[in-house]
Amino acid sequence: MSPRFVYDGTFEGFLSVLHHLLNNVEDPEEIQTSEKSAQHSLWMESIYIRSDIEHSKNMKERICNEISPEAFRHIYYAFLSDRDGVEMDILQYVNLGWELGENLIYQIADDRVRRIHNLSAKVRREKHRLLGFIRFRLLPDDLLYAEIAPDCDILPLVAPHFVNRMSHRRWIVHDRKRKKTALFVDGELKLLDEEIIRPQHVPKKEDPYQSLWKRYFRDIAIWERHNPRLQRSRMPKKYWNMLLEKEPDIGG
Amino acid sequence: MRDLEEKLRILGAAARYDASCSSGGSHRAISGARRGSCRLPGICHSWSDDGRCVSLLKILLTNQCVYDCAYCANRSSREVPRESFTSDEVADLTVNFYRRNYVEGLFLSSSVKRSPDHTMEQLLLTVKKLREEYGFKGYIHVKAIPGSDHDLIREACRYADRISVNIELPTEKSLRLLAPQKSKEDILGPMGRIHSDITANREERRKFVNAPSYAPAGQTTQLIVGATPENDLQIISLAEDLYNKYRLKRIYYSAFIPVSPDPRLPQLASPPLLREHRLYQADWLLRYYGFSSRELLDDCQPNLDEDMDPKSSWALRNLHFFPVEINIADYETLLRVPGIGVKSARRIVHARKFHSLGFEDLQKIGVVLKRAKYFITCRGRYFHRSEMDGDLIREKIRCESPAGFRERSTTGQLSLFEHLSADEPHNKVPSSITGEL
Ligand code: SF4
Repeated sequence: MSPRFVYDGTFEGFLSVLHHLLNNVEDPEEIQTSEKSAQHSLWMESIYIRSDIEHSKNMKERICNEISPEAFRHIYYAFLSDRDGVEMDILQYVNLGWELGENLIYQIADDRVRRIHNLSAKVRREKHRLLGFIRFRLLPDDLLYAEIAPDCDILPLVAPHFVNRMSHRRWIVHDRKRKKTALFVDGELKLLDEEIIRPQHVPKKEDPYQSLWKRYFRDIAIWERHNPRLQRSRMPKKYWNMLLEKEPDIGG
Repeated sequence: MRDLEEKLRILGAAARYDASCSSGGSHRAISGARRGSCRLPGICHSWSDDGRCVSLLKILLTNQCVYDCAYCANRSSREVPRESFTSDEVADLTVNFYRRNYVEGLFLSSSVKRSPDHTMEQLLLTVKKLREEYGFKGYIHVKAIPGSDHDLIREACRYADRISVNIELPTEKSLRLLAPQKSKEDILGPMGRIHSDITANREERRKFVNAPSYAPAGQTTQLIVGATPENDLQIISLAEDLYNKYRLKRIYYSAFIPVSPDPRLPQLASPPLLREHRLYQADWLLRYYGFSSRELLDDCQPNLDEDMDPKSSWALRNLHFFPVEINIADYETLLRVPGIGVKSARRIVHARKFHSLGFEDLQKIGVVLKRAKYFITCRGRYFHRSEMDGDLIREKIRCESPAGFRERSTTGQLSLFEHLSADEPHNKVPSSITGEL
């Protein structure tokens, strides 16, 4: 019976698994995060692979050189989709990649390729959406704070964008769903696997620009062109709770 | 704050008719983000209740106007509340909205207060202040006021990413009728001068990396559709000329919305949104699909088909061009097939290097088979064995046109606003696409 491989849930950890598989020519039944495998039965033999920076770097290089950097990007993005079983799909993709090299990414008619590219497109889409939808609030001490709860783990993808945009400020993007935090202080970005502010501890007081924005948003629609369906298709309802302008009005 | 809120209300609402910052669905990256210096927003921060993308704080500096253009909500003869921002107010709002990630930057337009020069001076002062005093690094789109001194416009371009002069109406005759205080020369003059400035600046920057930038995201314009009797052929030929002559990045078409009754203006039950949509599609065909205006329209058929997109319509008039064999046709030919967009054409060219493609491959690649199937063969075979019959195909494509279009004629709504991207799979989130602007 082929074994199950378990890793710590990080991308480095997953690359370390790939590295191990490649060097030991093993054929896994499953690759799982330790969190998920803890809920599983003990029937299957599991092997824990430790996250190893060198191994993961080496794997990244090999994929970039022997397949293509574009393929590596697809792998990374698909990984961030957080979808159950994505690890095995990526494994199939990489294995096909060793055969096809840089031609891999053009084989979109092949299911193994399409599956990964669709996932990566999904992540990319959500990342792009959130670059626009994230709303910062000004907290005391000039700290900008934003909360998100995306379907995919896009925090590491959006954080660098805000580093460019606000390099002289201090800010936090907080993924409520995954309890992760991107923290930017003193010119340095840190991605933390923990919540450093509990949402209930964030002061509720509105800053004046919030009401200005809401007001502005209401006034720019042309009612002769009113089109809520189009609005919803562009800005799906599931994101409305993070959008200030879509908050129901409380008085005034 | 109260005061500021009131100004924002009036001057935000007054600016909303300008399409050039947020035009429904048509946001796509200009393939021009070649240089790091060319900042293109490419990010939609919200979608207003009319479904248009909001990516910039779009306001008028003032809505006090000495002109009296018939189609305009701010015309001098109309009784509306008038306000003006100070440049500090604009700068303050911009940086604070930007910081909170509400917008990518500022779109600053203005009515003509006192004189064109005075207005342009104020616009210049504001963008200069925003960059130099407030250290703002986001995106700025500023209007050039027709009839103002070119030195003022030129200096504003040092601070702005993009500049636009609105052409407003498609012909000089219409302009004379509806905007008698503006002349063709007032509009085309600055457009031409900006174009030469941009060309010279690009040249300079090729030689000297540190040369100051000049509207790195280029110039655009907007025109109003349906206020005057011009046909689509006139509009699309004008667009073609403007693209060729002045290298505009975009032309925005804005369906005429009657704001105040005027005997010179047509009575419309609802704004011609479908027509606007078809014009955007045709515009897209000019810029990305290698079509010319004369291919899309001619004197016998001077208006775009309301029932189907202009590419399908062209295909049906040119059945001799088809069928196109997917496995051998070159890229330009593939682009002419209804249901094949830029992205799927590119994918076909790549994918067929490895093995010849069948219909199910095309579906996976993102080709809209239900439209393309009439016009292509795969490995020499048709999708159906039936003959190509123009009338039959026409009927079929018509029935397939999205529900939103049909609905619109009764409700004035357009629920599908894909501007040709309907040809392509949905994942085309602007890698900076939505970008464009
Ligand atoms: S100059 Fe501009 S603001 Fe003034 S009436 Fe004409 S279009 Fe309106």
